[in-house]
Amino acid sequence: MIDRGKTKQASSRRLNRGLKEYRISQLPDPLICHVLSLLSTKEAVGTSILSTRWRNLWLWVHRFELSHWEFLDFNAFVSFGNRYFDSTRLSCIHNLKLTIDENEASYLTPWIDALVKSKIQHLCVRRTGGGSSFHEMPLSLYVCETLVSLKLVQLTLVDTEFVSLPCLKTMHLYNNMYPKETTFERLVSSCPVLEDLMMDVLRNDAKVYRVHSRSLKRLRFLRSSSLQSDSVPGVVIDAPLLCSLRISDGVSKMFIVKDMKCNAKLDISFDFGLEAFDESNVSSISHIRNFLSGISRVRDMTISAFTFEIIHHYSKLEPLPRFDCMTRLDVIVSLPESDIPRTGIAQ
Amino acid sequence: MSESNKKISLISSEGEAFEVSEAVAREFEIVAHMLEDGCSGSSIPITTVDSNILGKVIEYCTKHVEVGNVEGNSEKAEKDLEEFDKRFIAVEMNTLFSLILAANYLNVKGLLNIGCQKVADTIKDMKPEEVRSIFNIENDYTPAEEEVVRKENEWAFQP
Repeated sequence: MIDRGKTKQASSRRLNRGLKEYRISQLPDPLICHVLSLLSTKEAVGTSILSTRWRNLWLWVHRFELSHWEFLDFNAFVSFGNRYFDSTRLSCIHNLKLTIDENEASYLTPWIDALVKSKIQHLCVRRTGGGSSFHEMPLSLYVCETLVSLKLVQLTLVDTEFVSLPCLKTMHLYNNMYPKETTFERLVSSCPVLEDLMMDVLRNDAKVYRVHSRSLKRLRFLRSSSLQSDSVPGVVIDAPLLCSLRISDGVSKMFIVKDMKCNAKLDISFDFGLEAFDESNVSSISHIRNFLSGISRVRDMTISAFTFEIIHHYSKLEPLPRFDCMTRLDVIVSLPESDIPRTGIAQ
Repeated sequence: MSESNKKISLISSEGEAFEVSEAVAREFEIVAHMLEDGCSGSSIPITTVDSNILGKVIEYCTKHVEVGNVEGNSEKAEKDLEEFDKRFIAVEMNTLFSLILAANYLNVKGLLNIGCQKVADTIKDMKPEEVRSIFNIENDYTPAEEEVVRKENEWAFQP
């Protein structure tokens, strides 16, 4: 502890120093950049007007957020971006959130190329608006060696033979287009350290999504609706380290989960593409059988009433597998007149 | 966590000695590294930090070590610490800048963060003229240069 004598001396010194003017300029550039990184991007860029020293300091901030709607018009957005993403100036950006609109997006390729060159670690690109222009992400993104987290919203992930994302741990893919089923499959299986995958499938997308990963720990998969089609939309999960799986899918007819870990947690809500259980539908029954045997080692399961009902009907036809590891089962039921929305059935 | 009874003297730029427990001294990462590198001396000179600021940094670290040692009731302790940080950093600008510089030099990350956050909170929502005046920044742009910068980053100056 500091004794009182010292405190007194200190305050007299402070008085003397009070005559001096305080200057932020005494902070070295990296510390000013630290301060700027705690401001919004707009506020940080706004400091460029303070003095010549501040003109380019904001360029050294590691995190940046750029949204088209903050600009007066599309041209102002692109022309600022073109200057900012000039790879000769861009040197140290680690974290970028980019929100773009539906206008043509030929600017995206040079911008993303520059970010990959500058060793981006966390990237979020989001296209707003409900229209149909799903801009294509440039190929350079697939070989970004520094990327740790990636979030893409309403874009097209072009097909490519070669993907190398050696550091990518977290991937959020919301409502994107994939030209082929293999595009998504290759993307996931080419991330050797991927642990978290969150995925919302676009409306009317009736593909089979295959998740093959030796490293994935958590997966959330949402698919809400689709047009009727003759294909068999489905989900195939082969991820031996998976410990948390949440699927909500009103479309898929087939779910295959290979070798789920014994301490895994599962939260499922789907109907195997059935409006009602039909015991004469042989392929559906086989899909249910395969699914149940794949998840039979689950520890903790939350299940929607409808999925539960289908499994219940199925159990009258064929014996259920033994759930030896299960310690908890929750069935979500909707009781319109009840205050209790959730019922737990302990096994 | 076992409390080390070893005392260490930190010597300010004026040569004043501040005796602290080793746990507090280790909050200064620069000191922790010195100790790990085998520096066994019981007094460590902190030549770039004066007594006033060193005293404050020690006060900050002492509080954080104390709270870190209390077991249980972590939510209350966290709130208490937040309150302490808020009061601690409510200082005049010159002291704030000196604290940031010292925290940076001594590598006390928590203090560096709250210091920079305080400056950021002060700048936020201010007009450029206000920022210049409060932090004493001289506008050395020529009017023509200033106009160029204003045009370049026009979006950032819109309300």
